[in-house]
This record gives sequence, structure tokens and C-alpha cells, in this order.
Amino acid sequence: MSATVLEAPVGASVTPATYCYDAFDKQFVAERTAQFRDQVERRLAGLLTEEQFKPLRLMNGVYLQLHAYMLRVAIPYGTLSAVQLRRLADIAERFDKGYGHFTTRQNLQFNWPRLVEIPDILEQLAEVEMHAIQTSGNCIRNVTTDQWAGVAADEIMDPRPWCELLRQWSSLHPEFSFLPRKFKIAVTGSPVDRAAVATHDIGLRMKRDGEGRPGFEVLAGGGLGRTPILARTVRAFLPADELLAYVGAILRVYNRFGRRDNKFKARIKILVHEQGIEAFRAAVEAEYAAGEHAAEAALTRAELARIQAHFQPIGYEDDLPERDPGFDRAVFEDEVFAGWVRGNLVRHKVPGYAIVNISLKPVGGIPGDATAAQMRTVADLAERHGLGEIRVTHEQNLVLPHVRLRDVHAVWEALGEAGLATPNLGLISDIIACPGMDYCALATARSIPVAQAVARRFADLDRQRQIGDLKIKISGCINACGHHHVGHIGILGLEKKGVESYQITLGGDAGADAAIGKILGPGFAYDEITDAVETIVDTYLQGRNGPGETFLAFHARVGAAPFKEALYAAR
Amino acid sequence: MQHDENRLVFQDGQFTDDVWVDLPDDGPIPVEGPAIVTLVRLAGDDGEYFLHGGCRIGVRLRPEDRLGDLVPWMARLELIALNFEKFTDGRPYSAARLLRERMGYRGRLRATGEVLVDQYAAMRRCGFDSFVVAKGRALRSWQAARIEMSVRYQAPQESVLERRHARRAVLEVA
Amino acid sequence: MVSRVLTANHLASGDVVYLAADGWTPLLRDALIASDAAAEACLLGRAARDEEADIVVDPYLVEVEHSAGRIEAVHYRERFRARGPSVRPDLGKQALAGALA
Ligand code: SF4
Repeated sequence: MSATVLEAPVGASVTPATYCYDAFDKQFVAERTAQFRDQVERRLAGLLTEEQFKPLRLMNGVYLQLHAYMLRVAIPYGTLSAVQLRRLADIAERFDKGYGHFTTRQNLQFNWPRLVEIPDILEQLAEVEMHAIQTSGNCIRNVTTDQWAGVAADEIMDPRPWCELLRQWSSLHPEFSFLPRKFKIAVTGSPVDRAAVATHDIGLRMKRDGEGRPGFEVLAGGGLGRTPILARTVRAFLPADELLAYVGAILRVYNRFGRRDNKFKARIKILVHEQGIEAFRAAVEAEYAAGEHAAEAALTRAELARIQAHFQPIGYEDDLPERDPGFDRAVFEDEVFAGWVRGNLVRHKVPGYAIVNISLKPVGGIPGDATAAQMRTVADLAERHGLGEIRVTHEQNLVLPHVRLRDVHAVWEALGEAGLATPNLGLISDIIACPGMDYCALATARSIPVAQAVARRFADLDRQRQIGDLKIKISGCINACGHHHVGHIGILGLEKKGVESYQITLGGDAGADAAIGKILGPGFAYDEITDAVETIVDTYLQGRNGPGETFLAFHARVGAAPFKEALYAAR
Repeated sequence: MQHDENRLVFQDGQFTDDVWVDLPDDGPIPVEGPAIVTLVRLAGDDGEYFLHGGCRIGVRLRPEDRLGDLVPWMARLELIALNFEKFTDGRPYSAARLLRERMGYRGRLRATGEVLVDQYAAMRRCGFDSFVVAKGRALRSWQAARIEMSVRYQAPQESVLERRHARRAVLEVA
Repeated sequence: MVSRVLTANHLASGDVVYLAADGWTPLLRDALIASDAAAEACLLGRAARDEEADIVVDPYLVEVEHSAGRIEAVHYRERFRARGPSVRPDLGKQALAGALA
């Protein structure tokens, strides 16, 4: 295999094993960009009212936020090439304020673009096969998946070709562009669900049937927000080539019968809940049975084969040993490096390679923010040591998915120089936080400074490691972009009597045993919330049966009582 | 009955005045039409007349009307109007596809209500071929808009998927 | 009687703006303050015209407190809006020299 790729100098283009646009895709994005430019011009000329323009701009990822417009760029299934990441850095500097924000839906947000310049930004994106199509609006949003797709050792199949197929199929879908509400699809190819599929409108779990044929367990009706509900199984096994037709049937039932009278009852979860899963399933199956799908299935097979060819692994060095002596020595000799390796490195399916996770949660930093310089550093490292590929995680971190063990130490050193070697992956300071009232027009309270204060309180790494696996997730309003419902400790910022107030939930879980956290009790003021989190953590540390009992296990064993006692008894 | 002065109809690539008249549920039935009635009226006491009479008829549906109720009149209907109460109400798109693809309807399929140029392509692809456009801002926007997409990823109409694999099939044969 | 100012976002740029004596200003401290219903109606009327003219979007009145030449929004949301992100003092209006004086 091509070993030259591995030594590529910075700036040389390394083509990663991910989807590349063909002429149709390029033309589609170019035309959509021109169409949006025309829409902006008609808005400025007064030919579109704000009411008419708003759904159009949202469907192309443009919000009007608290301080300015915001542009949400799609990063389909969280996969980026070095060239794309470098372009995002360029845009951040040229059109924005030198940074970007990676979101819980594997997207990137620019916080300060001017409306009149957004068409230019979209042209810049289109040049590197990117866009902002359907990153908002009541349509099918960017499809998300496992950030380690294609490289995780525990995977059944790489879900990304299916995500790409769904991306194309859902792009400007003529029937499903004005759904009752937004619609999110997530796919997992691994039994360890890192894509939180049960919290999506449609969740797809890759399976194989008795004869080894690929397919999906299809779930529907999950969602967080005001009414958190976990998705229910609609089909236990759907043959893979029926995917588009079946998803289309679900969407048609939802488009026709989903509630449009009340924004808060318009998600598909409410339809499934109100009809009951049996009636909903019957409606979907009836719609599906009424259609003729053979041609579409044949097309799906052909198209999938075409797309899958793009994802064939390329550039791996053959026959590397499981272990690398230089790497082992560095781990042995350098305690700090060893600590980062323990936390941030994950086993790769190819011997001699590792998955390197880059925390975007430096203590005191803004979760998910990266400066243009940092983006360039990561892009350079991906080209030099990572087959040109980067992943974005729903926990707002980045990943270099293919790094040779022998290069890991050099990568770590370079990350350290850029302030990107925080060794806190999965620890208490690796907090998910939505933008909250520092940026978001819908927010009821801030989330970022709460995350910063909690991370500072637990800055001591030994203490973090002693606490172990503990996920804190913070949302600045009931829309739950910070996934607080599925945080081990969830924090929801609300307004109470004219000030910010924070409600705590415990016991949520986004993984394969997904669970919605339970509200602990009355909320806490802005300057009380950090103490409250520390009290919760101390209660756990004092009560657990040794370090083997995780926070979630402890909570499952003892319930909320000891936490309530510790928090509220003194009040 | 008067034509509505405040709107034009876009069909077959041009704007024209509307020849169809919206009939209220209690108005007299014109001898020749062409008249658009509600489903209630179509299925009511005058139903027999509409089924066998000489007048050209169309029906206007609300999003909650059941498409199956149209079956007895399918052969007689020259026009079906689906109303977009708001342009953000996506139900008529599904109804249009069901009428065209499942129920075999071949007559005019008309979009009424809040019909804006930015939804024109999606409406047309779902089977609409007649568009009632309000004069004023909507019409000016309609005339100013320049951009239409030539690439589409989904059926109906030939999609990128079909174009890609049609080409491949040709190559494989060659 | 509470005092109010009128705010909106500039259509082309998205900037937060306030209605001033001679048009729109990015700074709350330069905003016209309405202290009675008639003055508010006047602000709303001017804003509606500029909304219709596609200069600004989403105009609305904001409650403020003011004394000795200092002006501050009553609600915390509007205080952040008048300044910029609390976690990035280098960005937004708070970063303009002397903007908050
Ligand atoms: S959860 Fe609320 S505050 Fe946070 S980003 Fe979403 S809408 Fe904004």
C-alpha cells in the first residue's frame, strides 16, 4: 500500500478514505449556493418578507442569534478532511472572528457572519465540498453517527456510507422540506452506541440477520427537549437496501399526521406517543406496503456500492506489529504523556494504529471552541500523521482516527504546543455545553460559564481520575442542545424570578442503555451551582464501593436520596 | 361569479388569468363550469349531478380531507386544488404525490394559498402543475427569482441516483 | 413608570442596534429613552417604518434603568445583548473602546 502518503509534507493534499463529490454533487451545491445568494438578494431588495425569508435561511443554516447572525456548517457524519478543516480556519479569519464552535450535532458554527457575506462563505465551503444545507429548519437535518465509525474495533459495519446515502436522499427532498418540526437521524454501526440513536427522531442500529445479511433495527420517536422520550422500535430488522423507502414511509406518515397546531407537540415523538407505538407502526407498515419499492431498492444497492468504494481504507502501513517499542518507552518514561494516552487514546481496528482523541475542553476554556490556528494545527497533523482525516464528536471534541503508534508522541507534543493536549477525555471536566445565553437567542440562562467554573473546580487531574467516568451535560434552555437529559449529571439553565437558575438531573445516560435523568429538586442560583455539583461528586466519592463503582452504578444502587440529603438538608 | 383580480395562475410556463371559479358550498351550480367545489359539496346532495353532469369540475381540498373520498369522482375531476394554509405547511406535498403516484390522477394539480416561488420547484416535483400566485410582493419575487436546481437526489422525476446508474449501465454494456 | 428603549437587529449585518435620535446606533448608551406611552408609540412607529423598509428586523421595546447618564437593561438577557458574550470580553460591543462608559 502507498507508504508515501504517510510522509506527505504539510500542504500536500492527502485524500482521506471518505466520500468525494462527483460532478452531480458539485453542481448541486453550486446551484444551491447560487439559489441562496438569490434569496438573500431578494430579501435585501424587499421581495421577501422576514417571515418568508426566515424558513429559507434556516434551511441553509442561518440563524439570527443574540448578537449577530450565526452560520451552522454541516459536517456530515462528523468526517472532515484536512483540506476542509483548513478552509474552515480560513473562513473563521476572513469572515468571522477567528474561531468556530463545534456542536453536539457534529456541526460547526460561526458566530459572527454578516448576512450579506454568507453567500461568499458558502462559495468558499462549496469549493471544498461542504455546505450548510439543512443544518436547521423543519427538515431532515445533518445525519450523525459514531465518531469512531470505520475504525472502532467493536464495529459491525461502517455506518458512514449509509449516512452519505441518507445525506444525499434528504437534501432538498421535495416532499419533506416542510415537516411539522425538525427531524434528526442517527446511525450506529457498533453495539456500543456512541451516536445516542435512542434520542433521535429516527435511530438506526446496524444489525446482521441469521444469514449475515446487513440491515437495521429501526427506532423512531426519540428526542430530548421539553418532553424527553426515548425512541421505540418500529422494525426489529429491516433489510439494508430497503432503508430509503422505509425511512420515506416513516417521514410520510409524520408529514401527514404529525401535529402542526402546537410547536411543542410537533416532533415525531409526540405522534408516536399519542398514537401509541403499535398504531404508529401499523400506519408506517401500511404506507410502506402500499408503495412499490423494488426499483428503489435496486438503486439503493447500486448507489451504496458506489459510495462504499469511497470509504475503503487506504494508506495504512501493512503488517505493523501490535506494539511499538518507541511508543511503549515514551509511555514508560513520561508520566504526563502516559496520562494523556490512558485517557485520550482508543484502540484502532488496524494493528499498530491508534485513534487519537483531541479534547476541546481545556480547563477554563469554552467547550467546543477552536481557534483558526488550532484548526490549522489539527489539519497539519492529520495530513502528516493521520491519513488526512479528522472527526468531530457529538461531545464537542475532535479525533485523528488513524495515527501510527510510532507517531503518537510527536502528535501529542504538537497538540500540546497548540493547547490541545488536555488529557481529560470522558472525565468530569470533559463537559458538553451548548452556547447558552452567551450566544443563543432562545436561551433562558448561560451554560458556558457554568461549564468553565465546574471544570476549574475539578481542575486537579488526580482528582478527576479518582472520580472516573462522569459526564456532565449543560443546556441553556429546555431545547436541550446540551443533552442535559442524558448527562450523568445534567444541568438545565432556566430563568426564575428574573435571574438565572439551574436545575439538576441525575442518572441520565446516552449510551446503549439510554436513560433520561431525573430532576433532583429545586434549582440553584448561578453562584451556587458549582458548589452543588461538588457536593454531588463528594457524596458519590464518600459512598461508593471503591473506584470500581462508577457514578452511574452508584446512583442506580442508592437512588437520589443521599444526594438530596447532602444538597437540601442544610437549606 | 367574478375572477379574483388579485391573483394570477402560473401554468405551462406562463402567467394567465384564471378560468376556474371557486364555488361556495351554498351557491348555485353553473351549467358549464368550470367550477371548483369543496369535498363536502362533491360528496353531498349535488354529488350525482357532478358525477354525470356536463359541467367541468374541480375540487379543493383541505389538508385534513381524506384522499380516499375522491375515488368515485377521479375520472370526472379536471382539477384538484391543494391549499397551503401557510407555505410552511408541508402536508400538500405528500398529498400531491399520493394523488399522482398512488391514485393515478392525471388532471391539473393546483397549489393555492401561500404559494411562493421558493417552493415552486418542490411543488412541481411532487406533481403540481398549476400555481395560484398573489399579485404584489409574491408576484414580483416570482418574476425576480432566477435560480432553479437542475440536480435532484430523489424520485419522482429522474434523480441523480438514476442518472449515475443509468450511465454506469450504458458503460457496462459498451 | 418604567423607561424603555427600542432595539432590533440590522438586517444586512445582524448587529444589535438601538433607535437613536438620528437613526440606529450599536450602543445602548446612545439610545432614545421613552418614559411614557406616547414616546413608546413614537419609537415603535419609527421602527415599524424601518422594518417595512428592510433596514432592521425584529424590533421590540426593552426595559431599562437609567440614572446619572448611565443606562442598563433591566433583564439579564438584554444586558448580555447590549455587551456581548460574557465569556468573551474581547468580542461584541463591550470590546469597543469606551462603549460601556
Ligand atoms: S439548549 Fe437552548 S440555549 Fe442551548 S443552544 Fe439550544 S436553544 Fe440555545
